[in-house]
Amino acid sequence: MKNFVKIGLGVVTGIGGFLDVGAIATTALAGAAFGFQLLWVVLLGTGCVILLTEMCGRLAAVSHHSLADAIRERLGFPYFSIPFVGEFLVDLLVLAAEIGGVAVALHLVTGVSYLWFVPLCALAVWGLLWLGTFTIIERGVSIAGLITLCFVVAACWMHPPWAEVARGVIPSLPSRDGVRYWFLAVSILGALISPYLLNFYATGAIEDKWTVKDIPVNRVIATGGMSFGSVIALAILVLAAVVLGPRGIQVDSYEQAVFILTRPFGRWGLYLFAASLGIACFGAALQVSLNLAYVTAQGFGWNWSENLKPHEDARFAAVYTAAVLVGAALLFVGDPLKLTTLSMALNAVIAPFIVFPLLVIMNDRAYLRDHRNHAIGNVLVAGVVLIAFVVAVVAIPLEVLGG
Amino acid sequence: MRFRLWIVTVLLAGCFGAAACGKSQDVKVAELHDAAGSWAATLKLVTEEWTRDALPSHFVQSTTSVAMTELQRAARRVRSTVGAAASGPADEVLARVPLLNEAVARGDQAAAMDIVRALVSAVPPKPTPPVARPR
Repeated sequence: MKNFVKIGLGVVTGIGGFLDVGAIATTALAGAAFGFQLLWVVLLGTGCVILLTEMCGRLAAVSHHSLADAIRERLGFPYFSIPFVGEFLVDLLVLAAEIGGVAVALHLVTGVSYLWFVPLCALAVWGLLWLGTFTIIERGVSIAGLITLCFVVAACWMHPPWAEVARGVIPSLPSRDGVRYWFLAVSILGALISPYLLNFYATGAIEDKWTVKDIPVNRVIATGGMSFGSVIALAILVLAAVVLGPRGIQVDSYEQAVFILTRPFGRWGLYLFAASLGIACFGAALQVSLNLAYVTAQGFGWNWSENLKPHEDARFAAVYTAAVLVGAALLFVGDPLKLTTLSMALNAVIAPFIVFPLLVIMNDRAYLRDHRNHAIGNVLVAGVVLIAFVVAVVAIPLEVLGG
Repeated sequence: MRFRLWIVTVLLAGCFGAAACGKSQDVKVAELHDAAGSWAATLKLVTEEWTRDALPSHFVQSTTSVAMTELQRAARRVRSTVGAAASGPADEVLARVPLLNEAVARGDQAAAMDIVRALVSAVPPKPTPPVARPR
């Protein structure tokens, strides 16, 4: 029974972890611009992220190391510093995009400029980090995030052509505007294979005191949580393809994305969209802020835990405090949606520097003992590493030409 | 070591090359036309939603404000590189936005719908069919 509760909560948390401003924005953009043609990219990204989170959870359960910890210890500080600096900078952008998402959600409902809400949202994020525990942050916001299931209901309500939807899961080449097609494909992959999610998942397993006994639970949570999150992302893409594409509406601002829920639900659609965006982004902002503090503290060997009082791990608390301040400040120089697409493309650039060491560590007996990767697992992860490298190389040119 | 340096150099050259080339003038003009069509369609849909009480009037006004900002910025960029004539469709949308705002402020749904219908026929959007393999 205890395991069922753990799995249920874990799956819900997985949904919350999967769906953030990046997933919402990139799938809406893709559906509006290319119909169902990019559905396969969401499925590919989901497959990759299931594999990677399962491994991160296993690493934490067996060795009690987070990903950052293990990379630093196994490959040394000089190597660790490369993904660390990259992830730190990109996570700051992602954090800005997430805080921006919460502020935009409030703007959509009130009509007041989102910039007025930025300090308020940053304060709320920081306040919860300062006062809350890991369990409150992990589960409270994730359970509230179940509201995002409204996208799935709306997608069914709109009666999309299911045969076409099914065809969209088969990879295809673009019929037009190839640069933009591949840019969106890369952005979706960057949004789904978020480096912050991998370290946060592993660290969460340590905070929750997982042991070897939790390996089966980890497998179910990684697969179930990410799959459910993926269904919501797929629903957003389908809705954008059905509502926005046929009218010739591209998604250049969040105002345009609101229609995907006002069409099926009328006035409630606006409130549901704002609530979904706000809660998903608020949860993700908490996770990204915490991850910035986790990665830094784990990298430099400081005290860290969200379950400790701030004075017991002062440097850890100082990092998330500074991160929230910088993230909020970035919103005064950049538009939230553009920050989102940029940060998702940059996520793709740094992913291989984090995914490749994971492959090395997952085959190290010193860390995983008898729970190392099997041959099939290694082949699959090698495929993910290859995808990550290709995506990283093309991400910046595509951002310039198609972003 | 030399091999790694070579890879890094090629990657950086690729990135900077792509950044330096940027987009051709034709692409910039086509993108502006697409954006103008997209915003025209957006204004039509937001007005339709407002007339069936699915969206409040402040939402219509904030959407028109975003449309103005985005199109003005895009039109300015195209005018500075291609010439004034290239921003025609964007100017068409920009000219009608204040009229739409006035109609919404008055609560005149019929006038607002007339404005957006005329807008969409003047600047037709490019629809994307909801299919997996567009022809």
